[in-house]
Amino acid sequence: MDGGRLTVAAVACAGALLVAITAAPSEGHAQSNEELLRRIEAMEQQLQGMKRLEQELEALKAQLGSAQTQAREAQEQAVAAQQQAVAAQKQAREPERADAKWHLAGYAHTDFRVSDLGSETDTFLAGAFNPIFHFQYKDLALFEGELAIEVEDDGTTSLEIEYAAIDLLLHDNAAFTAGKFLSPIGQFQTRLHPPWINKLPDAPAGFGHGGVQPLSEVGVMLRGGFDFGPMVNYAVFGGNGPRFEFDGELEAVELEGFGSDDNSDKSIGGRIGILPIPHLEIGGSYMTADLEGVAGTSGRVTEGEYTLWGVDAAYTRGALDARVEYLDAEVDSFFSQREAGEPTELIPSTDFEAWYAQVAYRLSGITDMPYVRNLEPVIRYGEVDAEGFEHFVEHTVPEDRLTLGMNYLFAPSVMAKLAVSWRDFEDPDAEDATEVRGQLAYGF
Amino acid sequence: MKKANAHGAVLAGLLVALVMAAASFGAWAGEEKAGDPAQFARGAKAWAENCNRCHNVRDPKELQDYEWYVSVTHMRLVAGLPGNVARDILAFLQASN
Repeated sequence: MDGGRLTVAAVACAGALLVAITAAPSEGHAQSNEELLRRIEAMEQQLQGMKRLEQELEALKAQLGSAQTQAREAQEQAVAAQQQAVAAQKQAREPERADAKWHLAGYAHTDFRVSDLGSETDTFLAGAFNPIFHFQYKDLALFEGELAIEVEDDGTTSLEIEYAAIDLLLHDNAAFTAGKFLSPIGQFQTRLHPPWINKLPDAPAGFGHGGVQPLSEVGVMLRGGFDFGPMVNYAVFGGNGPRFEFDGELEAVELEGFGSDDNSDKSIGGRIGILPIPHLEIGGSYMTADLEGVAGTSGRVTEGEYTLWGVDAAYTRGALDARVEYLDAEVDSFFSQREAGEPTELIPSTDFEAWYAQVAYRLSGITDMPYVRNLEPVIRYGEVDAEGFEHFVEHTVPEDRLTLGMNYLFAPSVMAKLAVSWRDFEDPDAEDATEVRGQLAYGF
Repeated sequence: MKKANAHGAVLAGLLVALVMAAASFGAWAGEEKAGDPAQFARGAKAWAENCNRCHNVRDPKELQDYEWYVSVTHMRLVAGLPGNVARDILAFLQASN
Protein backbone atom coordinates (compact mmCIF):
# COMPACT_ATOMS: atom_id res chain seq x y z
CA MET A 1 0.00 0.00 0.00
CA ASP A 2 1.43 3.41 -0.91
CA GLY A 3 1.45 6.59 1.25
CA GLY A 4 -1.67 8.17 -0.32
CA ARG A 5 -3.80 5.18 0.47
CA LEU A 6 -2.56 5.18 4.05
CA THR A 7 -3.60 8.83 4.45
CA VAL A 8 -7.09 8.16 3.09
CA ALA A 9 -7.46 5.19 5.40
CA ALA A 10 -6.36 7.23 8.40
CA VAL A 11 -8.81 10.07 7.65
CA ALA A 12 -11.60 7.55 7.14
CA CYS A 13 -10.85 5.97 10.52
CA ALA A 14 -10.82 9.40 12.22
CA GLY A 15 -14.15 10.35 10.59
CA ALA A 16 -15.78 7.11 11.65
CA LEU A 17 -14.59 7.70 15.18
CA LEU A 18 -16.04 11.25 15.21
CA VAL A 19 -19.39 9.95 14.03
CA ALA A 20 -19.33 7.36 16.74
CA ILE A 21 -18.62 10.03 19.35
CA THR A 22 -21.47 12.32 18.31
CA ALA A 23 -23.87 9.39 18.18
CA ALA A 24 -23.06 8.15 21.71
CA PRO A 25 -25.92 8.05 24.40
CA SER A 26 -25.93 10.76 27.11
CA GLU A 27 -25.64 8.31 30.12
CA GLY A 28 -22.14 7.98 31.50
CA HIS A 29 -21.25 10.75 29.14
CA ALA A 30 -18.14 12.01 30.96
CA GLN A 31 -16.52 8.57 31.14
CA SER A 32 -17.26 7.86 27.56
CA ASN A 33 -15.71 11.14 26.50
CA GLU A 34 -12.51 10.36 28.29
CA GLU A 35 -12.37 6.95 26.72
CA LEU A 36 -12.98 8.43 23.33
CA LEU A 37 -10.27 11.05 23.86
CA ARG A 38 -7.77 8.34 24.66
CA ARG A 39 -8.75 6.44 21.60
CA ILE A 40 -8.48 9.61 19.51
CA GLU A 41 -5.00 10.25 20.87
CA ALA A 42 -4.03 6.68 20.08
CA MET A 43 -5.39 7.11 16.58
CA GLU A 44 -3.46 10.33 16.16
CA GLN A 45 -0.27 8.58 17.22
CA GLN A 46 -0.96 5.83 14.74
CA LEU A 47 -1.54 8.49 12.11
CA GLN A 48 1.78 10.13 12.91
CA GLY A 49 3.49 6.73 12.61
CA MET A 50 1.87 6.21 9.25
CA LYS A 51 3.12 9.58 8.08
CA ARG A 52 6.67 8.66 9.11
CA LEU A 53 6.32 5.40 7.26
CA GLU A 54 5.15 7.32 4.24
CA GLN A 55 8.22 9.56 4.40
CA GLU A 56 10.51 6.58 4.79
CA LEU A 57 8.78 4.94 1.85
CA GLU A 58 9.34 8.00 -0.29
CA ALA A 59 13.01 8.03 0.67
CA LEU A 60 13.30 4.35 -0.25
CA LYS A 61 11.66 5.03 -3.59
CA ALA A 62 14.23 7.75 -4.26
CA GLN A 63 17.08 5.39 -3.35
CA LEU A 64 15.64 2.69 -5.57
CA GLY A 65 15.45 5.07 -8.51
CA SER A 66 19.10 6.05 -8.03
CA ALA A 67 20.17 2.40 -7.82
CA GLN A 68 18.26 1.61 -11.00
CA THR A 69 20.01 4.45 -12.79
CA GLN A 70 23.40 3.21 -11.61
CA ALA A 71 22.57 -0.33 -12.72
CA ARG A 72 21.57 0.93 -16.16
CA GLU A 73 24.82 2.86 -16.50
CA ALA A 74 26.85 -0.16 -15.36
CA GLN A 75 25.04 -2.32 -17.88
CA GLU A 76 25.81 0.14 -20.66
CA GLN A 77 29.46 0.19 -19.64
CA ALA A 78 29.57 -3.62 -19.63
CA VAL A 79 28.09 -3.75 -23.13
CA ALA A 80 30.66 -1.22 -24.35
CA ALA A 81 33.50 -3.20 -22.76
CA GLN A 82 32.20 -6.39 -24.34
CA GLN A 83 32.13 -4.74 -27.75
CA GLN A 84 35.69 -3.54 -27.26
CA ALA A 85 36.79 -7.04 -26.22
CA VAL A 86 35.19 -8.57 -29.31
CA ALA A 87 36.88 -6.00 -31.53
CA ALA A 88 40.25 -6.62 -29.87
CA GLN A 89 39.82 -10.37 -30.18
CA LYS A 90 38.99 -10.04 -33.84
CA GLN A 91 42.01 -7.83 -34.38
CA ALA A 92 44.25 -10.29 -32.52
CA ARG A 93 43.02 -13.22 -34.60
CA GLU A 94 43.15 -11.34 -37.88
CA PRO A 95 46.30 -13.17 -39.10
CA GLU A 96 44.59 -16.51 -38.50
CA ARG A 97 41.56 -15.52 -40.52
CA ALA A 98 43.60 -14.53 -43.56
CA ASP A 99 44.08 -16.96 -46.44
CA ALA A 100 47.73 -15.97 -46.70
CA LYS A 101 49.85 -16.35 -43.61
CA TRP A 102 53.53 -15.88 -43.03
CA HIS A 103 56.19 -16.64 -40.48
CA LEU A 104 59.68 -15.23 -40.08
CA ALA A 105 62.06 -17.86 -38.77
CA GLY A 106 65.80 -18.30 -38.96
CA TYR A 107 68.91 -18.57 -36.89
CA ALA A 108 72.09 -16.79 -35.93
CA HIS A 109 75.41 -17.81 -34.47
CA THR A 110 78.70 -16.32 -33.42
CA ASP A 111 81.90 -18.26 -32.76
CA PHE A 112 85.47 -18.23 -31.60
CA ARG A 113 88.22 -20.60 -32.63
CA VAL A 114 91.60 -21.41 -31.11
CA SER A 115 93.85 -23.65 -33.18
CA ASP A 116 97.44 -24.77 -33.22
CA LEU A 117 97.22 -25.19 -36.98
CA GLY A 118 99.90 -22.92 -38.42
CA SER A 119 97.62 -21.58 -41.15
CA GLU A 120 94.91 -20.48 -38.74
CA THR A 121 94.87 -17.76 -36.10
CA ASP A 122 93.03 -17.67 -32.82
CA THR A 123 90.03 -15.57 -33.64
CA PHE A 124 86.49 -14.54 -32.98
CA LEU A 125 84.19 -15.32 -35.88
CA ALA A 126 81.24 -13.12 -36.63
CA GLY A 127 79.19 -16.12 -37.63
CA ALA A 128 76.09 -15.56 -39.66
CA PHE A 129 72.52 -14.40 -39.57
CA ASN A 130 70.11 -16.47 -41.64
CA PRO A 131 66.54 -15.18 -41.83
CA ILE A 132 64.05 -17.69 -43.22
CA PHE A 133 60.81 -16.48 -44.78
CA HIS A 134 57.74 -18.70 -44.96
CA PHE A 135 54.63 -17.54 -46.81
CA GLN A 136 51.69 -19.91 -47.09
CA TYR A 137 48.53 -19.59 -49.14
CA LYS A 138 45.79 -21.78 -47.67
CA ASP A 139 46.77 -25.44 -47.78
CA LEU A 140 47.87 -25.03 -51.36
CA ALA A 141 51.26 -23.34 -51.58
CA LEU A 142 54.24 -22.49 -49.42
CA PHE A 143 57.19 -20.29 -50.29
CA GLU A 144 60.37 -20.99 -48.37
CA GLY A 145 63.39 -18.73 -48.64
CA GLU A 146 66.55 -18.57 -46.55
CA LEU A 147 69.18 -15.86 -46.81
CA ALA A 148 72.71 -16.28 -45.52
CA ILE A 149 74.14 -12.99 -44.33
CA GLU A 150 77.71 -13.36 -43.22
CA VAL A 151 80.60 -11.12 -42.24
CA GLU A 152 83.62 -12.16 -44.29
CA ASP A 153 87.23 -12.27 -43.15
CA ASP A 154 87.96 -8.92 -44.81
CA GLY A 155 85.08 -7.21 -43.04
CA THR A 156 82.71 -7.14 -45.97
CA THR A 157 79.27 -8.66 -45.73
CA SER A 158 78.15 -11.39 -48.08
CA LEU A 159 74.56 -12.18 -48.95
CA GLU A 160 73.54 -15.49 -50.49
CA ILE A 161 70.33 -17.35 -51.06
CA GLU A 162 70.58 -20.71 -49.34
CA TYR A 163 67.29 -21.74 -50.84
CA ALA A 164 64.22 -20.15 -52.36
CA ALA A 165 61.51 -22.50 -53.53
CA ILE A 166 57.78 -22.74 -53.98
CA ASP A 167 56.02 -25.88 -52.73
CA LEU A 168 52.67 -26.99 -54.05
CA LEU A 169 50.94 -29.16 -51.46
CA LEU A 170 49.43 -31.71 -53.83
CA HIS A 171 47.89 -33.75 -51.04
CA ASP A 172 48.72 -35.51 -47.80
CA ASN A 173 51.48 -37.63 -49.30
CA ALA A 174 53.16 -35.42 -51.85
CA ALA A 175 54.39 -31.89 -52.40
CA PHE A 176 55.92 -30.54 -55.57
CA THR A 177 58.88 -28.20 -55.07
CA ALA A 178 60.43 -25.90 -57.66
CA GLY A 179 63.32 -23.47 -57.30
CA LYS A 180 66.51 -23.66 -55.31
CA PHE A 181 66.21 -26.18 -52.49
CA LEU A 182 68.50 -27.91 -50.02
CA SER A 183 69.78 -31.21 -51.33
CA PRO A 184 67.81 -34.10 -49.82
CA ILE A 185 70.90 -36.34 -50.00
CA GLY A 186 71.63 -37.64 -46.50
CA GLN A 187 70.35 -35.91 -43.39
CA PHE A 188 72.93 -33.34 -42.36
CA GLN A 189 72.39 -30.72 -45.03
CA THR A 190 68.61 -30.87 -45.18
CA ARG A 191 67.83 -31.13 -41.50
CA LEU A 192 70.83 -30.70 -39.24
CA HIS A 193 73.14 -27.96 -40.49
CA PRO A 194 71.54 -24.93 -38.74
CA PRO A 195 73.76 -24.17 -35.73
CA TRP A 196 70.90 -24.35 -33.21
CA ILE A 197 70.29 -27.93 -34.43
CA ASN A 198 73.85 -29.08 -35.11
CA LYS A 199 75.20 -30.55 -31.88
CA LEU A 200 78.73 -29.25 -32.42
CA PRO A 201 80.10 -25.90 -33.59
CA ASP A 202 81.38 -27.31 -36.87
CA ALA A 203 80.10 -29.62 -39.56
CA PRO A 204 81.38 -33.20 -39.68
CA ALA A 205 84.45 -33.78 -41.83
CA GLY A 206 83.32 -33.99 -45.46
CA PHE A 207 79.94 -32.41 -44.77
CA GLY A 208 78.99 -28.78 -45.18
CA HIS A 209 80.56 -26.32 -47.60
CA GLY A 210 83.33 -27.83 -49.70
CA GLY A 211 82.48 -31.36 -48.60
CA VAL A 212 81.33 -34.53 -50.25
CA GLN A 213 77.68 -33.97 -49.44
CA PRO A 214 75.72 -31.94 -52.04
CA LEU A 215 74.44 -28.69 -50.55
CA SER A 216 71.64 -27.50 -52.78
CA GLU A 217 70.01 -27.97 -56.14
CA VAL A 218 68.14 -25.82 -58.63
CA GLY A 219 65.34 -27.75 -60.24
CA VAL A 220 62.23 -29.60 -59.20
CA MET A 221 61.49 -32.10 -56.49
CA LEU A 222 58.67 -34.33 -55.35
CA ARG A 223 58.66 -35.17 -51.65
CA GLY A 224 56.35 -36.39 -48.95
CA GLY A 225 55.62 -39.23 -46.62
CA PHE A 226 53.30 -42.14 -45.85
CA ASP A 227 52.17 -43.72 -42.63
CA PHE A 228 51.94 -47.42 -43.43
CA GLY A 229 52.39 -48.35 -39.79
CA PRO A 230 56.07 -47.70 -40.20
CA MET A 231 56.46 -44.15 -41.46
CA VAL A 232 58.13 -43.69 -44.84
CA ASN A 233 59.44 -40.45 -46.30
CA TYR A 234 60.85 -39.79 -49.75
CA ALA A 235 62.29 -37.09 -52.01
CA VAL A 236 63.17 -37.35 -55.71
CA PHE A 237 64.61 -34.46 -57.65
CA GLY A 238 65.98 -33.35 -60.97
CA GLY A 239 68.15 -30.28 -61.32
CA ASN A 240 71.04 -28.46 -62.90
CA GLY A 241 73.47 -30.54 -60.87
CA PRO A 242 77.06 -29.91 -59.83
CA ARG A 243 79.86 -28.29 -61.82
CA PHE A 244 83.62 -28.40 -61.94
CA GLU A 245 85.27 -25.44 -60.25
CA PHE A 246 88.00 -23.92 -62.41
CA ASP A 247 90.01 -20.99 -61.08
CA GLY A 248 93.25 -21.06 -63.04
CA GLU A 249 93.21 -24.80 -62.58
CA LEU A 250 90.68 -27.56 -62.29
CA GLU A 251 90.11 -27.51 -58.56
CA ALA A 252 87.02 -29.27 -57.32
CA VAL A 253 83.50 -30.53 -57.81
CA GLU A 254 81.10 -27.82 -56.69
CA LEU A 255 77.98 -29.38 -55.25
CA GLU A 256 75.80 -26.31 -55.01
CA GLY A 257 72.71 -25.30 -56.90
CA PHE A 258 73.59 -23.11 -59.88
CA GLY A 259 71.19 -20.61 -61.37
CA SER A 260 71.60 -22.14 -64.82
CA ASP A 261 73.17 -25.26 -66.24
CA ASP A 262 76.38 -25.39 -68.24
CA ASN A 263 75.21 -28.50 -70.02
CA SER A 264 71.84 -29.98 -70.87
CA ASP A 265 72.29 -33.04 -68.70
CA LYS A 266 70.35 -32.89 -65.51
CA SER A 267 71.16 -34.40 -62.17
CA ILE A 268 68.71 -36.96 -60.83
CA GLY A 269 68.63 -38.21 -57.29
CA GLY A 270 66.72 -38.66 -54.11
CA ARG A 271 66.44 -40.23 -50.73
CA ILE A 272 64.05 -42.63 -49.07
CA GLY A 273 63.76 -42.96 -45.32
CA ILE A 274 61.86 -45.47 -43.22
CA LEU A 275 61.06 -45.54 -39.53
CA PRO A 276 60.63 -49.26 -38.77
CA ILE A 277 59.98 -48.33 -35.14
CA PRO A 278 59.31 -44.92 -33.62
CA HIS A 279 62.45 -42.85 -33.01
CA LEU A 280 64.61 -44.84 -35.47
CA GLU A 281 65.04 -43.63 -39.04
CA ILE A 282 67.11 -45.38 -41.69
CA GLY A 283 67.71 -43.72 -45.04
CA GLY A 284 69.33 -44.33 -48.38
CA SER A 285 70.34 -41.73 -50.98
CA TYR A 286 71.43 -41.76 -54.61
CA MET A 287 72.40 -39.12 -57.15
CA THR A 288 73.80 -39.10 -60.66
CA ALA A 289 74.89 -36.24 -62.92
CA ASP A 290 77.19 -35.40 -65.80
CA LEU A 291 79.70 -32.60 -65.36
CA GLU A 292 81.07 -30.69 -68.34
CA GLY A 293 84.86 -30.65 -68.68
CA VAL A 294 86.64 -27.32 -69.25
CA ALA A 295 87.73 -26.54 -72.80
CA GLY A 296 91.47 -26.06 -73.28
CA THR A 297 93.61 -24.58 -76.00
CA SER A 298 93.03 -27.75 -77.97
CA GLY A 299 91.74 -31.28 -77.59
CA ARG A 300 88.35 -32.74 -76.99
CA VAL A 301 86.19 -32.11 -73.95
CA THR A 302 83.97 -34.77 -72.41
CA GLU A 303 81.69 -35.03 -69.43
CA GLY A 304 82.64 -36.60 -66.16
CA GLU A 305 79.97 -38.94 -64.85
CA TYR A 306 79.22 -38.29 -61.20
CA THR A 307 77.51 -40.87 -59.02
CA LEU A 308 76.84 -40.78 -55.30
CA TRP A 309 75.17 -43.12 -52.87
CA GLY A 310 74.79 -42.90 -49.18
CA VAL A 311 73.13 -44.36 -46.13
CA ASP A 312 72.15 -42.72 -42.88
CA ALA A 313 70.55 -43.73 -39.61
CA ALA A 314 69.39 -41.83 -36.56
CA TYR A 315 68.00 -42.92 -33.21
CA THR A 316 66.52 -39.99 -31.33
CA ARG A 317 64.56 -40.70 -28.21
CA GLY A 318 64.15 -38.37 -25.27
CA ALA A 319 67.53 -37.03 -24.22
CA LEU A 320 69.47 -39.31 -26.58
CA ASP A 321 70.47 -38.28 -30.09
CA ALA A 322 72.61 -40.81 -31.97
CA ARG A 323 73.24 -40.74 -35.69
CA VAL A 324 75.55 -41.95 -38.43
CA GLU A 325 75.90 -40.99 -42.09
CA TYR A 326 78.00 -42.40 -44.90
CA LEU A 327 78.50 -41.00 -48.41
CA ASP A 328 80.43 -42.45 -51.32
CA ALA A 329 80.86 -40.49 -54.55
CA GLU A 330 82.81 -40.96 -57.75
CA VAL A 331 83.68 -38.79 -60.72
CA ASP A 332 84.62 -40.96 -63.65
CA SER A 333 87.54 -40.03 -65.90
CA PHE A 334 86.95 -37.28 -68.45
CA PHE A 335 88.79 -34.96 -70.83
CA SER A 336 89.27 -31.41 -69.60
CA GLN A 337 91.75 -28.62 -69.27
CA ARG A 338 93.81 -29.17 -66.16
CA GLU A 339 95.66 -25.84 -65.95
CA ALA A 340 94.82 -22.56 -67.66
CA GLY A 341 96.38 -22.21 -71.10
CA GLU A 342 96.91 -25.91 -71.65
CA PRO A 343 95.26 -28.40 -73.99
CA THR A 344 92.77 -30.83 -72.56
CA GLU A 345 93.91 -34.11 -71.12
CA LEU A 346 92.42 -37.16 -69.48
CA ILE A 347 91.56 -36.41 -65.90
CA PRO A 348 91.60 -39.63 -63.88
CA SER A 349 88.58 -40.76 -61.92
CA THR A 350 88.32 -39.76 -58.31
CA ASP A 351 86.59 -41.46 -55.40
CA PHE A 352 85.26 -39.47 -52.45
CA GLU A 353 84.14 -40.84 -49.13
CA ALA A 354 82.86 -39.20 -45.98
CA TRP A 355 81.20 -40.51 -42.86
CA TYR A 356 80.61 -39.65 -39.25
CA ALA A 357 79.06 -41.12 -36.13
CA GLN A 358 77.77 -38.87 -33.36
CA VAL A 359 76.15 -39.32 -29.97
CA ALA A 360 74.71 -36.57 -27.80
CA TYR A 361 72.88 -36.91 -24.50
CA ARG A 362 71.07 -34.21 -22.54
CA LEU A 363 71.61 -34.67 -18.83
CA SER A 364 67.97 -33.81 -18.22
CA GLY A 365 67.46 -37.51 -18.96
CA ILE A 366 69.10 -38.49 -15.68
CA THR A 367 68.86 -35.48 -13.35
CA ASP A 368 66.69 -32.52 -12.44
CA MET A 369 69.55 -30.59 -10.83
CA PRO A 370 69.42 -26.93 -11.87
CA TYR A 371 72.00 -26.02 -14.49
CA VAL A 372 73.36 -29.57 -14.67
CA ARG A 373 70.20 -30.76 -16.39
CA ASN A 374 70.85 -28.24 -19.19
CA LEU A 375 74.21 -29.77 -20.12
CA GLU A 376 74.61 -31.94 -23.18
CA PRO A 377 77.87 -33.80 -23.80
CA VAL A 378 78.58 -34.75 -27.42
CA ILE A 379 81.10 -37.01 -29.13
CA ARG A 380 81.62 -37.28 -32.86
CA TYR A 381 84.12 -39.12 -35.00
CA GLY A 382 84.33 -38.66 -38.75
CA GLU A 383 86.51 -39.17 -41.76
CA VAL A 384 86.72 -37.67 -45.20
CA ASP A 385 88.86 -39.20 -47.91
CA ALA A 386 89.55 -38.82 -51.61
CA GLU A 387 91.66 -40.80 -54.05
CA GLY A 388 92.37 -40.01 -57.67
CA PHE A 389 92.94 -36.66 -59.37
CA GLU A 390 95.37 -34.77 -57.13
CA HIS A 391 93.66 -31.37 -57.35
CA PHE A 392 90.38 -32.85 -56.18
CA VAL A 393 92.16 -34.74 -53.41
CA GLU A 394 93.97 -31.58 -52.27
CA HIS A 395 90.73 -29.61 -52.22
CA THR A 396 88.94 -32.30 -50.21
CA VAL A 397 91.62 -32.22 -47.46
CA PRO A 398 91.30 -35.84 -46.27
CA GLU A 399 91.35 -36.13 -42.50
CA ASP A 400 90.18 -38.08 -39.49
CA ARG A 401 88.53 -35.91 -36.87
CA LEU A 402 87.52 -36.67 -33.29
CA THR A 403 85.49 -34.01 -31.50
CA LEU A 404 84.32 -33.83 -27.91
CA GLY A 405 81.88 -31.13 -26.98
CA MET A 406 79.70 -29.83 -24.20
CA ASN A 407 76.57 -27.81 -24.82
CA TYR A 408 74.56 -25.72 -22.41
CA LEU A 409 70.92 -25.31 -23.39
CA PHE A 410 69.42 -22.04 -22.16
CA ALA A 411 66.31 -23.07 -24.07
CA PRO A 412 65.57 -25.72 -26.70
CA SER A 413 66.77 -23.36 -29.43
CA VAL A 414 69.28 -21.22 -27.54
CA MET A 415 72.58 -22.83 -26.65
CA ALA A 416 76.26 -22.31 -25.97
CA LYS A 417 78.71 -24.91 -27.29
CA LEU A 418 82.32 -25.63 -26.48
CA ALA A 419 84.23 -28.34 -28.31
CA VAL A 420 87.73 -29.58 -28.90
CA SER A 421 88.73 -31.39 -32.10
CA TRP A 422 91.75 -33.48 -32.87
CA ARG A 423 92.35 -33.33 -36.60
CA ASP A 424 94.61 -35.95 -38.18
CA PHE A 425 95.31 -34.98 -41.79
CA GLU A 426 96.22 -37.70 -44.27
CA ASP A 427 98.60 -35.50 -46.21
CA PRO A 428 102.01 -36.54 -44.83
CA ASP A 429 103.25 -32.97 -45.22
CA ALA A 430 100.38 -31.51 -43.17
CA GLU A 431 100.66 -31.09 -39.42
CA ASP A 432 97.94 -32.54 -37.24
CA ALA A 433 95.98 -29.96 -35.33
CA THR A 434 94.07 -29.47 -32.14
CA GLU A 435 91.25 -26.98 -32.34
CA VAL A 436 88.96 -25.48 -29.72
CA ARG A 437 85.74 -23.87 -30.87
CA GLY A 438 83.01 -22.06 -29.00
CA GLN A 439 79.68 -21.03 -30.36
CA LEU A 440 76.54 -19.24 -29.27
CA ALA A 441 73.57 -20.22 -31.41
CA TYR A 442 69.95 -19.17 -31.47
CA GLY A 443 67.18 -20.55 -33.67
CA PHE A 444 63.95 -18.64 -33.94
CA MET B 1 69.09 -38.56 -80.12
CA LYS B 2 71.88 -36.85 -78.25
CA LYS B 3 72.67 -38.19 -74.82
CA ALA B 4 71.86 -34.86 -73.20
CA ASN B 5 68.44 -34.73 -74.77
CA ALA B 6 67.81 -38.31 -73.73
CA HIS B 7 68.56 -37.44 -70.12
CA GLY B 8 66.25 -34.47 -70.29
CA ALA B 9 63.45 -36.53 -71.78
CA VAL B 10 63.87 -39.25 -69.15
CA LEU B 11 63.86 -36.66 -66.40
CA ALA B 12 60.79 -34.89 -67.73
CA GLY B 13 58.94 -38.19 -68.18
CA LEU B 14 59.92 -39.34 -64.71
CA LEU B 15 58.72 -36.17 -63.08
CA VAL B 16 55.44 -36.09 -64.97
CA ALA B 17 54.81 -39.71 -64.03
CA LEU B 18 55.65 -39.03 -60.40
CA VAL B 19 53.43 -35.99 -60.18
CA MET B 20 50.53 -37.87 -61.79
CA ALA B 21 51.06 -40.84 -59.51
CA ALA B 22 51.23 -38.53 -56.52
CA ALA B 23 48.08 -36.73 -57.54
CA SER B 24 46.23 -40.01 -57.95
CA PHE B 25 46.90 -40.88 -54.32
CA GLY B 26 44.94 -37.82 -53.35
CA ALA B 27 41.70 -39.68 -53.82
CA TRP B 28 42.24 -41.67 -50.66
CA ALA B 29 44.09 -39.07 -48.65
CA GLY B 30 41.61 -38.67 -45.80
CA GLU B 31 40.59 -35.61 -43.80
CA GLU B 32 40.11 -35.68 -40.05
CA LYS B 33 36.64 -35.19 -38.66
CA ALA B 34 36.13 -31.72 -37.30
CA GLY B 35 36.47 -31.65 -33.52
CA ASP B 36 38.00 -35.12 -33.40
CA PRO B 37 38.66 -35.55 -29.66
CA ALA B 38 41.50 -38.00 -30.32
CA GLN B 39 43.42 -35.58 -32.51
CA PHE B 40 45.08 -33.83 -29.57
CA ALA B 41 46.40 -37.13 -28.20
CA ARG B 42 47.59 -38.27 -31.63
CA GLY B 43 49.27 -34.92 -32.14
CA ALA B 44 51.07 -35.06 -28.80
CA LYS B 45 52.41 -38.51 -29.63
CA ALA B 46 53.47 -37.51 -33.14
CA TRP B 47 55.09 -34.32 -31.78
CA ALA B 48 57.15 -36.33 -29.29
CA GLU B 49 58.17 -38.95 -31.85
CA ASN B 50 58.94 -36.80 -34.87
CA CYS B 51 60.09 -33.29 -33.96
CA ASN B 52 63.20 -34.44 -32.12
CA ARG B 53 64.23 -36.57 -35.09
CA CYS B 54 66.12 -33.42 -36.07
CA HIS B 55 66.07 -30.85 -33.27
CA ASN B 56 65.18 -30.26 -29.63
CA VAL B 57 61.42 -30.07 -29.28
CA ARG B 58 60.24 -26.51 -28.91
CA ASP B 59 57.71 -25.17 -26.48
CA PRO B 60 54.25 -24.77 -28.06
CA LYS B 61 54.14 -21.32 -26.44
CA GLU B 62 56.99 -20.08 -28.65
CA LEU B 63 54.65 -19.25 -31.52
CA GLN B 64 51.10 -18.10 -32.08
CA ASP B 65 48.52 -20.28 -33.76
CA TYR B 66 48.91 -18.83 -37.24
CA GLU B 67 52.70 -19.05 -37.00
CA TRP B 68 52.51 -22.73 -36.05
CA TYR B 69 50.24 -23.23 -39.04
CA VAL B 70 52.98 -22.05 -41.39
CA SER B 71 55.89 -23.50 -39.46
CA VAL B 72 54.35 -26.98 -39.28
CA THR B 73 53.82 -26.97 -43.04
CA HIS B 74 57.52 -26.22 -43.49
CA MET B 75 58.46 -28.98 -41.06
CA ARG B 76 56.12 -31.40 -42.78
CA LEU B 77 58.08 -30.93 -46.00
CA VAL B 78 61.53 -31.11 -44.42
CA ALA B 79 60.79 -34.22 -42.36
CA GLY B 80 58.61 -35.94 -44.96
CA LEU B 81 55.57 -36.16 -42.70
CA PRO B 82 52.21 -37.19 -44.13
CA GLY B 83 49.70 -34.35 -44.12
CA ASN B 84 47.38 -35.99 -41.59
CA VAL B 85 50.23 -36.43 -39.10
CA ALA B 86 51.24 -32.80 -39.60
CA ARG B 87 47.65 -31.68 -38.91
CA ASP B 88 47.59 -33.74 -35.71
CA ILE B 89 50.80 -32.07 -34.55
CA LEU B 90 49.40 -28.65 -35.46
CA ALA B 91 46.24 -29.31 -33.46
CA PHE B 92 48.32 -30.28 -30.45
CA LEU B 93 50.57 -27.21 -30.70
CA GLN B 94 47.68 -24.79 -31.16
CA ALA B 95 45.79 -26.30 -28.25
CA SER B 96 48.87 -26.17 -26.04
CA ASN B 97 50.06 -22.62 -26.53
